[in-house]
Amino acid sequence: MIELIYIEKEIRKHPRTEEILSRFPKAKVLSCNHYKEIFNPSAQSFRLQKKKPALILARQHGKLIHPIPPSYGVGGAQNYYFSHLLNCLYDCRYCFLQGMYPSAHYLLFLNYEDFAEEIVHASRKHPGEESWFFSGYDCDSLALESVTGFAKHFLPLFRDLPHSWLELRTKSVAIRELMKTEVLGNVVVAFSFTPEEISEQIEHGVPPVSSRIEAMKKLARKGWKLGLRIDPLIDCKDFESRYRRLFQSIFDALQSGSIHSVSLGSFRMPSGFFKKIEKQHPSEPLLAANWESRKGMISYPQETESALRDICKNLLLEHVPRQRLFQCET
Amino acid sequence: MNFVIAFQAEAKPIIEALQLSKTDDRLFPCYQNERHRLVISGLGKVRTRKAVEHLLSQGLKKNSCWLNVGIAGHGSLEVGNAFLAAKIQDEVDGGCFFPPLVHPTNLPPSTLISCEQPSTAYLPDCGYDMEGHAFYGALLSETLREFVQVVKIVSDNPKSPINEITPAKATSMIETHVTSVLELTGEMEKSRAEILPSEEVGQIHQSLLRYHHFSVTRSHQLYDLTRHVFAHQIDPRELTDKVRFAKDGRDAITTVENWLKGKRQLR
Repeated sequence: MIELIYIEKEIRKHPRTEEILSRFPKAKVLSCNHYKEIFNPSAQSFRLQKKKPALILARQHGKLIHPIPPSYGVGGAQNYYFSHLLNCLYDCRYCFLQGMYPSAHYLLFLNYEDFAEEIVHASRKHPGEESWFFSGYDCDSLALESVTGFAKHFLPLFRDLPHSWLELRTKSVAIRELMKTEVLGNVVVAFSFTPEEISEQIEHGVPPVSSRIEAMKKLARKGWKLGLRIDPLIDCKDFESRYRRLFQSIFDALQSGSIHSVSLGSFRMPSGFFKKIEKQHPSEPLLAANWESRKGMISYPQETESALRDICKNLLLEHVPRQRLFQCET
Repeated sequence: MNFVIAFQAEAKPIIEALQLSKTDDRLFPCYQNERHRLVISGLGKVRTRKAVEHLLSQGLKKNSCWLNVGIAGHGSLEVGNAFLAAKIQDEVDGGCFFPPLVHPTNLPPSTLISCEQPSTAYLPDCGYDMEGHAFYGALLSETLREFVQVVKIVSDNPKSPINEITPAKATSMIETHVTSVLELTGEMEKSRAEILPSEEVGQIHQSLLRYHHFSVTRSHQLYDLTRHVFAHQIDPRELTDKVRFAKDGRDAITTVENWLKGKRQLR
């Protein structure tokens, strides 16, 4: 799977580096001074690299956790995101990462202990308030678990932070670590969905909807809290019936009680990112939809956006109480 | 596809395999056919950079592919083995390039150190040449990094010294790997074709421009609309009719935009 691994000299002897290297004995290993030598240069093709991404092992410096955009939360008072990994195993045509990063290589920051320290520090800054930590903004939280050991490292941390919450956001079915870990009441495993017909067209490499529902079912049976992320909403033929079928399949498989929260998000992307992605995929039908530019963001026309959101909101309210439904808006 | 090669003896197998003809360039010996150009740069950084600039000055297409091929020393590989440069380091200033290795190939990756003078130092897992770094550096702002690659064939190593190399040996070493080299260039060209805008879209767009006067902005808008028509697999003849029967350029854009509105949903 990984044929080439770049490693920053500084972390060549890090135990996590050794552990990862042992999983890829055939990979060619190259050293670099800083990950930016590989990841940052311009004039790289994200699209071509996506066909054969390399792994970059690095240390992240500076601020490691960041506040999330307002209205992106699911009820918490303090909300942060952090990114131990940049880029994703999957190739979703709507993903902003294609427009944000010059490279599609997986960039893994191995200094988990530093991330953990900042999480603990932030948690203690607001005693009595719930702090949320979202891990899947710049990657899929679980898809590369067998390489990163991310959940394995961070779940125990949250066992000791009962007033803080961790969201693992994923489209994967890589739940082995969760299945062998004692359930934590302050961790939400949030699955993102679009209807199967849409997923097949634009979410390349993502496991089928049915497999993801099956994974959710297993987690729910074990007692993990689940999240449902219907984000982004994609306008399509038979929109209502497709989303109705999707929600029906999910809630047929799961008790409403195992769903901690559901969030709905409209498609929105900074114009600059959108243009970059359009250049990479000039014949992609999704990118040739009826888009509109509002305040520097590309989204569906206001009217369409509200209609899609209202349809889904009403469909979801047939299954979950209003207080568990959240809307992400920009 | 553009080849930059230091010596005639190294270039010979590629010239023959691709049936390239000598051009009448005076600055550098150059060879070409319809799809390939090859320049014999001579030894070292300065001549390599100038050879690249020489080819660039001939007005190449956007995002062209480039390959530097030649012989090199190596600290670990056996003489006669080929490798693809995955890290190209300048021996003098230590600066590195990391060409993204995205094309399917049977050539193993290796570090390559580009020296000022022929080197007899052989670090393990490192190749040694005199051109790779200058070649890559000269193309940084000219094309995508994926489309600049360096292939070397090991001519000397700690067991087999550099002074035993002859032009005939160099030719024979490169000849052994011509198939792998051309497979790689084929893959590079395939990748290039994959990311270039569709020629069909360009042709239809050009044909539409004949019907009315379009300002530069409207011409871009029309290009995007044409691209969208193809993305949604709509018969372009319908688009042609909409444009042809519009009053003027402005009306053509509005008409096509309105017509497309109901056809842009994902299937």
